[in-house]
Amino acid sequence: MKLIFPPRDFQLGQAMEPPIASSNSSGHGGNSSSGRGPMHFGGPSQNPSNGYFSVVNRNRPTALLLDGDRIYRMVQKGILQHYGVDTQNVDNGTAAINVLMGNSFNLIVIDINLPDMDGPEITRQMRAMGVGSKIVGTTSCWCERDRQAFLNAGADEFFEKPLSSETLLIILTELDGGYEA
Amino acid sequence: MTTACKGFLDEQFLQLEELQDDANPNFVEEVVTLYYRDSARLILNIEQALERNPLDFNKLDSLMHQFKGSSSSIGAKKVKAECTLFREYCRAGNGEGCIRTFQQLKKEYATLKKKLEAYFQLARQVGPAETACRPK
Repeated sequence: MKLIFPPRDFQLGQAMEPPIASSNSSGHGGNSSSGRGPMHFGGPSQNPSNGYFSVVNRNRPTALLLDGDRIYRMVQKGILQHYGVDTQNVDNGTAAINVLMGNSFNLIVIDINLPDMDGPEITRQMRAMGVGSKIVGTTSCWCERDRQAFLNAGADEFFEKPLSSETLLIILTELDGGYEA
Repeated sequence: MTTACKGFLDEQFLQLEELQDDANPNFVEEVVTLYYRDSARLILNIEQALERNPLDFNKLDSLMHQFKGSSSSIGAKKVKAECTLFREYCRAGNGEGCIRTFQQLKKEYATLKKKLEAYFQLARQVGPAETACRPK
């Protein structure tokens, strides 16, 4: 199942002819093959000077993947990118914090065990920094105690690895802006 | 996935095959090769940890947590099951159970390696479209 996203060369803030009557109230469009116009995130906003609608369009959704295991990073990144998510990998919490200094992501996936700190701790630090991304904690062996630790630290969800297609679809659908499969 | 691999691999392996395309024609084999390379070190670490007296069950559990993560990433079903059992023995403080399970784990690990090597050899001969399992 492929998720459809706007092409990479779509210009941010590109103005479109008004109005797009078929847009739904949340501002989500459909894919171009259905004739409903290009898909976008966020709603249309009208420019008061010319009446044109601008589609505030983010590029493809982004994810930051934190895991100490090279194999898992390689596989999960491949899967996320297959679903149209631009994914960056880091293998420790300190590197993740450095990346977040200058970048934001729609989704952050954090393993319970990182070489320099545990997943809940890095989650806590991210939230303290003001990171508002959806944070998903992961483990290779599900445990209620770890789940609670992650949620108490500010994570949104917790799953056992590897993330199945169904789980990924749920996670991606819940991201801000929504998705169409 | 060939019939020979069934039971040893789960749907995660099919996900890996879905990632293969013209840009990454050997993705699965590359991942599996890396897995066996990286996990060889982990297995050695676990073996060394199992020789200690007394056993450090926290250390063993942590090592096996990592090994399970890698194994599940490639869909190594039976290896993953032994990892889970090993961790249960760790939590119970059962050293003999850990040692016994680890022996079985290494057998499953070696068996899977042989099957995958044969699978990739076959794939190279007939082409990936003939050997990959495509969902309907």
